[in-house]
Amino acid sequence: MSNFIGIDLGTTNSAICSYDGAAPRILKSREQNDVTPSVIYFDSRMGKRVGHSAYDMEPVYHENCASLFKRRMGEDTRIELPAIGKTLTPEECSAEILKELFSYLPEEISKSSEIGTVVTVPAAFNQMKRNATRQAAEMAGIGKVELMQEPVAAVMSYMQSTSNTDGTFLIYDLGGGTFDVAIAESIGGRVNLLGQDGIEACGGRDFDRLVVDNIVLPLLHEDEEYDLPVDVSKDKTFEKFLRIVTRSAEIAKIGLSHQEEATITIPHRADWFHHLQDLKGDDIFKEIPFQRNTLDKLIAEKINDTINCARKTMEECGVNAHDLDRIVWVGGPTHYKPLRDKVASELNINGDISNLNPMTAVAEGASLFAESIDWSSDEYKMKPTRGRISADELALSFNYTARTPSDSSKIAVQVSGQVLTGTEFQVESLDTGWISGRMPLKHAATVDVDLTKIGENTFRITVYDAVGESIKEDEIIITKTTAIVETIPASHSIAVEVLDRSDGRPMLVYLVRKNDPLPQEGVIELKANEKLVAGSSHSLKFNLQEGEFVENINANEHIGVFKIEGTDLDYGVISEGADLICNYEIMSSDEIRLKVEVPEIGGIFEEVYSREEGQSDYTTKAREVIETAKAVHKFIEDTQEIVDDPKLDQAKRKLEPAHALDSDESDPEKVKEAEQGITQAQEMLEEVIRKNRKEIRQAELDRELTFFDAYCRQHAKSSEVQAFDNLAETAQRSIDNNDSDFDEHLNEFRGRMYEILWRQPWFVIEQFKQLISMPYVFNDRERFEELATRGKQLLESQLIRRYEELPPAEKYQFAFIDDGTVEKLREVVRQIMFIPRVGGDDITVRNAAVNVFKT
Amino acid sequence: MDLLQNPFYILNATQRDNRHKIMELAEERSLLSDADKCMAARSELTNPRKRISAEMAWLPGVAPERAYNILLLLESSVGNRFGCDKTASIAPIDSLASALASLPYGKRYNVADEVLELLKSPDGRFAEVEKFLGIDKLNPITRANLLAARMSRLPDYTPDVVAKWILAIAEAFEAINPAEIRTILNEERRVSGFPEITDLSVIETEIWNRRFYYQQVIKSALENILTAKARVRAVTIVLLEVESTSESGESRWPILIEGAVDSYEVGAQAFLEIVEKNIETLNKELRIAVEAETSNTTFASMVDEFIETVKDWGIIALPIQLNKNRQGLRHSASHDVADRVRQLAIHLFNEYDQLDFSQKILNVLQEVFTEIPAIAERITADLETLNKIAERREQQMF
Repeated sequence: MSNFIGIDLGTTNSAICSYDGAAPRILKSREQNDVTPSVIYFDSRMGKRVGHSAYDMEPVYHENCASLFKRRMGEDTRIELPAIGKTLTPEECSAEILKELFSYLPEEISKSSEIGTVVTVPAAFNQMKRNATRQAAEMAGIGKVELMQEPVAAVMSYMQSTSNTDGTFLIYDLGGGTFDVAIAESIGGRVNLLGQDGIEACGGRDFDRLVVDNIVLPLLHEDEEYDLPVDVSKDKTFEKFLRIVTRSAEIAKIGLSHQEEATITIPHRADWFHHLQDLKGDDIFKEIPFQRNTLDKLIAEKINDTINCARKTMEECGVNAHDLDRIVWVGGPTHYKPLRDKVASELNINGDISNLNPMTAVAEGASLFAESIDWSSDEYKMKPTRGRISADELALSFNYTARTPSDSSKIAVQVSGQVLTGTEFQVESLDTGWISGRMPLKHAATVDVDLTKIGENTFRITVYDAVGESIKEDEIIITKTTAIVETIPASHSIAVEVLDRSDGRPMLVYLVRKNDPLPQEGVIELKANEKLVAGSSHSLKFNLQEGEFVENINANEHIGVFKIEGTDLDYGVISEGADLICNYEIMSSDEIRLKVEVPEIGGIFEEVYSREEGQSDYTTKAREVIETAKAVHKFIEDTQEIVDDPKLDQAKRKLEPAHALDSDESDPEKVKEAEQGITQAQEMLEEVIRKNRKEIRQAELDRELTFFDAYCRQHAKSSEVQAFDNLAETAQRSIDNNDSDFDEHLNEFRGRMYEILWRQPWFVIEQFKQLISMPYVFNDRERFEELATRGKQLLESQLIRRYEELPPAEKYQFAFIDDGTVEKLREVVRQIMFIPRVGGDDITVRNAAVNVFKT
Repeated sequence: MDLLQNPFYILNATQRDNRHKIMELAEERSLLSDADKCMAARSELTNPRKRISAEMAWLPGVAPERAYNILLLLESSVGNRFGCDKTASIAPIDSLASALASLPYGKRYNVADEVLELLKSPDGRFAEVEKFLGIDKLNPITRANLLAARMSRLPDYTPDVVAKWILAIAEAFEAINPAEIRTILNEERRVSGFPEITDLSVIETEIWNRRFYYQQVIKSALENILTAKARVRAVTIVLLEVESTSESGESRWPILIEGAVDSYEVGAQAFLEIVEKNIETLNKELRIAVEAETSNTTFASMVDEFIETVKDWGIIALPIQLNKNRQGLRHSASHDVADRVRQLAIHLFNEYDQLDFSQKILNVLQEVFTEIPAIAERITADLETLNKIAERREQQMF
């Protein structure tokens, strides 16, 4: 294969590059630009324009245009095109961009079967989004495609542009829609990515919105000349206005990359022929001076988010600022010098001054990376870096470095048997004529060979017997590459959620941890928790989770399921308890491949990943986001009662967009932004909990101990007191050793205390009173009412009336000989507790969803 | 991670090698041995964060040459059950011993020399276990790593020997100090040029991982003891030793001892289930026999058999009961068995007036479950009642 293609499928701009093994070449758009705007215009006959012309038309013909769809990849959200009465999936839109980019290739390349394409995805993309991108590539019909994380491509490009400079670098990739960061270490052209991370929705597009919301709209509102709706974004008739204004802001923002001051012209010159009018029908025209320091203040928080993300990645990789040689800038917004200065200064790392083009680096790197893939292999694995030719008849082999960025390589002799005395070997370069001379053939003998050119270097190896006759001859090819990425780290932890036993609780089984080197493979042995009959509509499934939340695993993102459906079975039954052998592989692109073997029926199931269950429609998700924000807020406040950390206040601020959301908000950008704020808040909370775990656990333990002393100790048997004290000591040691079993001990505590309290009449009476104060939580209201009535009658008994008359402090000491009343009430309470509750609890819901368990 | 699976060992690298050297070693080694393994080892050693696992599973604080040679000798161990890389040429033990003798020793006293002496022996086999355990000048994590590696390769797994190794590893583990480890690792990192470790929590996390590894080694050693009773003996020796050496008022055992008993519990599970079934079968047979008014002699021998089976249960379950009791946790199986045996004793007395047999069973029950206060309390109360009845009957007879 000789044609390697790299595509940077961006949120706002995309680019394509080809590589022939010698030098990468950016392919220009029809308008002769290096990048193509990721915008599509559809006319009423479904005719399309993609790229610059669509970008120019978008503000005015927004109802005909699809843009920013990369942010919706892997979601249920549709791209609406009201002007032509159609909706498209984000994947269909991306496919159009890929087709457009592919059309820039010379026909001899695009029609060739000898072509392999790498499409890049942000490191911050989750499995659903990666899967959706692959689907888009399949829809585009562009042949053999592999995905790769953008930072990996950026590193390749950087290595090529700097002729393999040694050092450790921080890749800061701020694009139109996403932010990625990676730490890479290069030694002699061999690159190890130590770690990578990113923010899914943080880029130039968000800066434009900040300028519009904080500068343009307030000024237009203040201007008495114009009459605008209070909330322009909610008024559909002002959608065109908003888009034209956003375009003006974007143009002025780009202008600030080259000058200290720019003007936001509304409407911009390109849109002058479209009159913008206010509510009175008066034309709007305004020029707003726009300085760098204004922009700097506006984007400060977003930039701080990227800096914090970079710091976190450095910490995870175990490197400090002084271990890093420079920051490599990638992405359009990094053209802006004040941004580069701020990031470099905050991180205390020098910025790069090489000639790397931030706009095309990713596409170039992707094409270079495409060369390292073995496109003839089934799963597009990396070409091996080691080669071997065997001479079985001589009981030896020649092992060599098959791919290297170095100027030389090694060939080593490995002997597995006896070598006849006097046997020799010789290496000869077929490109330069260089000859090593004959050397004794022995185990571990090595020859250094020079690689004189990029690409394939051919050598002949000859073995001679004791009399100098050639007895074996073979050729080997050693490829000199621009650079080799030797380690690609997983950008997220990925786990499957299964039950810990047949009737157990959900648990996470990790397939890969963040920053583990890829690819990874392994086997998980599970069992079916219910039977699956061929042809039935049921399925065996286990949830897929992605994320780094350890303290609060529910905060991890649900990214779909692995499932075997009844319709996948031609015949037979997978019985309850049947073995499910799951072989998984996490590819270098971070994608998961899974194969499930069911020995019972001799079946093997592949392609069992389904992302649909994890997808959300962000046009209808506002209410859920608001509720989640409330719950997280409460959790933060509870933590603040124990820990005083300013990060918790920051976390609360991150929830503000979600608190400000209307429950009927349908703008997916706003809802997604709010959800991202929640994730960031949860990350901060997680960090605080992790750092203060001992303190928090100690507070929890102390609370339980105080409760025990106040209400239980006096009623406990001596053996119970002894056991409780021992358990307290066990829990204390869990705290001291940071053990993971602390929560189990705490639950054991609560169980023990409940056992003691359950024997106490006052507890049973108070428990009943509490239960009947919340009838709304019970599903079966009729049953609840029946039991409540029975219980209330018991409360009228003389015995309990005597209890009620006691002063509060004496109630806990209430002792008497039960005439059966309390025992009856105890039974009523027990029955009420059995009534299912509205919504169920998390465990019930999850258990219903997951029906496989770990052996 | 076993010492012989450590990336330092795979690449023949030292803690003081810099990145370039590690890359070089990986290149060379990968041409003559498993390339994937070498590349993975290289990746782990050059990644500052992942490197910590390898560093802590190695022999921190031991001079590089000594560390490597100790490991070579360990690999030649007679009991080595780990699949070592046969393609890597390993020198025979006698030539290694002479090579070691000619090594230029550092000026600073290095306890690793002592280890080497103990590892060497004239016939190429390892020195006595006792001597090996006697080394006490290593820092605790190095000692624990070395002991664990050696314990994985013991020539014989007898209860007394296994017990000693468990105690030694547990003692070493208790002495591990995260701050001390950080200091040692950072000293080596300053030489190798890797970023120093600032965050103590990453060391603590790694200690937790080491703990898991040591527990696996202990579990495996216990599994290598052939009979269930011999395993009980090993664990009992450990517990007796811990009890006798623990300071007064200190009710907790070393973490690895608790872990060892947990491992023992997992291994004993199947055996306990069999004995429990036997108890249940005998329980039913006794109920049938008493109803059928079987002769006293026959019934007495049936009770004796039942009692012996309960005692068998008790012997196996005792370490578990002690462990649970210490932790304030409940051993459900013990409670279930005690409850069923007690019910039988009550049944024999209440329904058939078999006071003697009932007392006999309850006495055994009290003996077997003495470590579980909740059960012991209840049995004591039962026995008091029965004893009063017996006394009353005696008085009536006179």
